[in-house]
Parts: sequence; structure tokens; C-alpha cells
Amino acid sequence: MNRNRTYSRRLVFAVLLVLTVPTLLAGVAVGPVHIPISDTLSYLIGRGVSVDNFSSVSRLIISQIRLPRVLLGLLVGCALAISGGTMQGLFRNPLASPYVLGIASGASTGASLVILLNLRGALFLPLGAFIGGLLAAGIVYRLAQERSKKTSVYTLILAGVAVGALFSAVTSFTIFLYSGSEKITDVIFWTMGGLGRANWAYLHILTPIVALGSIILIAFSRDLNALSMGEEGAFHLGINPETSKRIMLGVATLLTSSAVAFAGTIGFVGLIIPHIMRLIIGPDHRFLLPTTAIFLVWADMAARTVASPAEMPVGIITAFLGAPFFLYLLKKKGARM
Amino acid sequence: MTKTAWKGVWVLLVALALVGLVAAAQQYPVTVIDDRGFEIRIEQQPIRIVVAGIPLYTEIVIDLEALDRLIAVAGSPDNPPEVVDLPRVGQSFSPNVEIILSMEPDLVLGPGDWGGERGKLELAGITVLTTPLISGIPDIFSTIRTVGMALGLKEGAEMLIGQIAEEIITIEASSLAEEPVRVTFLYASVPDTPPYAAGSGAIENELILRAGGENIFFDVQGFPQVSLEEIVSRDPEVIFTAPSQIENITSNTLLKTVSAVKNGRVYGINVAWITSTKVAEALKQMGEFLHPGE
Repeated sequence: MNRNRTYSRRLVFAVLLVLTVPTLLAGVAVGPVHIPISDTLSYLIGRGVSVDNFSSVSRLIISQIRLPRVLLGLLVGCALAISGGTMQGLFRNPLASPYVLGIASGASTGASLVILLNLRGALFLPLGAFIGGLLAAGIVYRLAQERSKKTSVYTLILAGVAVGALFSAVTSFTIFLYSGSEKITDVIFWTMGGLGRANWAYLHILTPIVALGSIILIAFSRDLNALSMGEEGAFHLGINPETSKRIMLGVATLLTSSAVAFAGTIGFVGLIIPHIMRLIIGPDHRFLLPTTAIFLVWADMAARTVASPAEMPVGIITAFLGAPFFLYLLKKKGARM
Repeated sequence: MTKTAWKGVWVLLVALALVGLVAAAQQYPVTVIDDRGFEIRIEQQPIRIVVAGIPLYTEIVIDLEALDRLIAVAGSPDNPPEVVDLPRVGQSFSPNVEIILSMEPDLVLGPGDWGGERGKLELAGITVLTTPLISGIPDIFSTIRTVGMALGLKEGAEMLIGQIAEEIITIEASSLAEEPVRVTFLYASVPDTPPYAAGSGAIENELILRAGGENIFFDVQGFPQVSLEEIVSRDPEVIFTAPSQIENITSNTLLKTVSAVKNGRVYGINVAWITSTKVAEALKQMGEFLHPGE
């Protein structure tokens, strides 16, 4: 039985890995402007192959709009889902999400200040959101440090809720102060989250962060398995729970703050995708964490095309697609959860 | 005059006309300032214009008789009927960058930064021009002027401004002798909820003053939500709102004691005209409601 399960896990893993390629391809091929799939392919495979009849506009749309957007979706989806899975394991709480430490609220405060104070410059907005997110998480960590230098997960969760509320209040207050400003709409659009701002500069920054962070978290997934049984058990397995916990929390925070910095607070992905994968392949984080990445690319594809030419906030789609699927799995396999 | 002399005159005239044409064509490149204070350089006379912002831009293009150069507009319920058949590039608050690019425009008017649309268009090498937010009639004029310069229709723009200004002055003059009426301009899209009132800094405030009214919420900035209590205590004689929202104000039991409601002086103003080249018509409506029977 054991052997069989491992096999099926490997299979799911392989299928998802293989699916990533057509997903990315489809993400680039689909959009409100029709571009023949053959053109898309020839552009992606060999730059210069039969580009004569491939208009410069199509090339612009693919290279500057769709490709960055799809790749950002992959990175952000990966970052959110992996840190979400990690947080759920660490907190031993199915309701934990990457935003549990107040990162989303902190990032929103940072972003709205940048927008409302009219700080222009390509990277001010992601930087402001990033700093806001880290600040919120930092405060939460400080609060959860006990005198014995241990970090209590319960205090973390509760402090996260409170600090999140505090930062939301700061955001609302700033919005109130600036009521009547055209910038308010910018703030609201930002908080809804989305991949529309994607560009290559963003990708150059985000790619190494997400790659490194994901590798570290996946490397720690054995510790996470042990920790999700309880800290005492982990200790007896030869793991220093405090050190592992800190590293994982730190990396997950960094991943989440970076993702939010570039895509706003996209909901649902970090909460539900780890659960969906848990229902499909079981609770082993070694397999769970790497399989969570491509969902957001699908959701964004839907967001771009469903109401075309208008664009829907991707958060609506993530919930629309994800929630029923999650409920279906829950109903079918719920007992195992 | 001899035949040759006539010929000479003709040659001279044609030459002059040509010089005039060349001079007009040589206006370019034109540099205009956008809402960020950036210099936007327009290399050639734009002939493929896309409006990706509010309908004001579309109206200006139409009023400057450049409709034939407009190839697409953003969807909006307030779009003028002339553009009903033009392709759409998303909604005016969230234009679709991909579709705009596929139109191959040489000038995109009005996109905001809400979802980073303007940045992406600029990155793709498109000339983009967005003018400052409208918070008064002078802003409408400066938008007309800027767009006119960008389109190479500076004189048409000045004429349009002069025409609107004249209408406004005429309306304003007719109410000068009247006693100012205490007014508020409310947006009450949700029944039984405190409405949003035009404070100073809103174009509605300026229109109230020019129509011969006195804005009871002159002491607040922008468009804040005001409490019903405050409306009752400041007791406006006239309430302006959008036609579809009159019901929300007159049916609100808490506002029953307000003079404007009691005396049936809650009026609907065509709000699509306010931030538009038809602003004088909105002002006219308001003036007639404030001082009826003139």
C-alpha cells in the first residue's frame, strides 16, 4: 500500500510538472486580441523564425504583456501557495494563510501611502508594499517572542489578527483623509490584487527571490512534516524546532511580502491551493509544496478572457474556480483531512 | 491688369496657401504637459487616436471635428452617440492594454495608472496623454487646450473654450441680481444611506456658485460622505442630484423636514454634462432650477 501511494504521488507530481509547460503556453496564447497559436509558438521557440509575417504588434503583445504576466502569475502563485502550505503546517491550523501574520494589511498600508502621497517611480509601489508587509510581520514576531526566546504559534496567530486590523485601520484612515482624490480608485484596484502590472523589471527582481525561497522551504519540508505533528515530536526526531520554525517563517514571510509587493493582495490562492493539493496527494509537505504553483496562471487566464475586453480582478476568479473544486474534494475525501 | 499679372497673383496665392499648409504641418513635434507634469512629445499629427479615459476626451475630439481620426474609445454609459459604432477598448476605468496595442494607435488619451495601464502603453512605445483630474471649469478648458495642441487643432480648441466660456458668463450674469439660494449637490446612489456632498474643490461646488447658489457644504473638501443630521441642520433650500437619485432623497424619512424636500425642490441634473464640454448646459439647468421663471 505504502509503495502504491508513493507511486501515485510521484505520478501526480510528474503530471503537474509536465502540465506547467502547456499552461504557460496557453497563458501566452489566450487573450482578448487574437494571435494565431503558430505565431505564438514560433515566437517562443525560436526568436526570428518566420517573424516576417508576424506583426510587430503581436510581438509586442506577447513579449511585453502576456509573457511577463503569465510568468508573474507562476511566480506569485508559487510564492503564495508554498508559503500558505508552510504556514498551515507550522501553525497546525487549516485556516492559516500566507496573510496570517498581517502581511496583506501591512502591504496595503504601504501601497496606499505610496499611491496617495503620489510617489512616482517604477519600483516605489512594490517597495512600499514590501516594506509594509515586512513591518507588519516583524511587529507580529516581536510580540510573539516569549521570555524563553521561544515563539508561540498561538500568540503569532492572534498578534497577526490584531496587527492586521491595526494596519487596515491605518489604510482606511488614509483613504478617508484623501477622500475625493482620484487616487482612491488606484488604492482600491491595488488592494483587489492582480497581475496586470507585470513587466520584465518586476520579474528580474521576483524570480531569484521566489526560486531561492521555494527551494529553502522545500528543503525544510521534512522538518515541516515533523513540526506539523507537534514540536515535542519534532524535537525527538532530532530537529531543533525553534530554529526550523524561524527559518521557515522568515522565508515564507519574505516570499509572501515579495509576491504581494508585485501583485497586490490576491486572496484564496495561499489558503485553498495547499488544501486542494493536500486532498489530492496527501499531507506530505515534501510533495505538497512543489505542486501548488500553476493554479494562478489558469485563474488569470480566465480573468483576462471571461469579461473581455474588460478585465476582472483575478481574486474573483480564484475564488470562483477554487471554492467549488475545493468543496467537491472536501465532500469526497473530507474524512481524510 | 494684364493676363500675366493675374497669373502672377494666382501663383502668389497658391504659394501662400502652400506656405500656410506647410506651416500648419510644421507645428509638429508638439510638446504638452500631462497630469504628472511630464513633457509629452508628439512627433506627428495623430491620426489614429484611442480614448482610454473618461468621455470628456471623446467629446473634445468630436467638438474639434476630428472624429474621423478617432479609431476606438473606452466603454462608458456617458459616451456621446457619435461613437456608438466605434470599437471598444475595455471600460474607461480599466482599459485593456492588449486591445489598445492591437489598434496601433499613434495617440492614446486619458488612461490612468489604476492597473498600471499607462506604464505598459508607454513601455510599448505608445504616446500617451492624460490630463489632470477635473475639479473645476478651468480644468475642462485646460484639457481642451492640451488635447487641441496634441491634435494640431489649437485654434479650434481656443474657439471651443471661448464658446463655452461665453455661454457660462451669460448664464452667470443672469443670476447676479438674484439672492443666493442655499444649495447642496448630493450623490445618493444607495437609499437610506448618508449621501456624498460636493464640498469645495469639487466642480459641482463651482457650478453651484456660478448658477447663483450658495454651497452649504463649502467648508468641507472634496466629496465626503455627510451625515443626514448635518443636512437637516444646514437645511438647504434646493438639492441637486442625479435624476436617478431624486427618489433616494425625497423618500428618505429623515430628510422630510428639509426645506428642499418639503417644497419639492429636489432637482435632477444631467451629471454626464458636468465633466464635459456641455458643462454650460449643466450650469444652465442648475440656474433655471435655482431661479425659475426668468
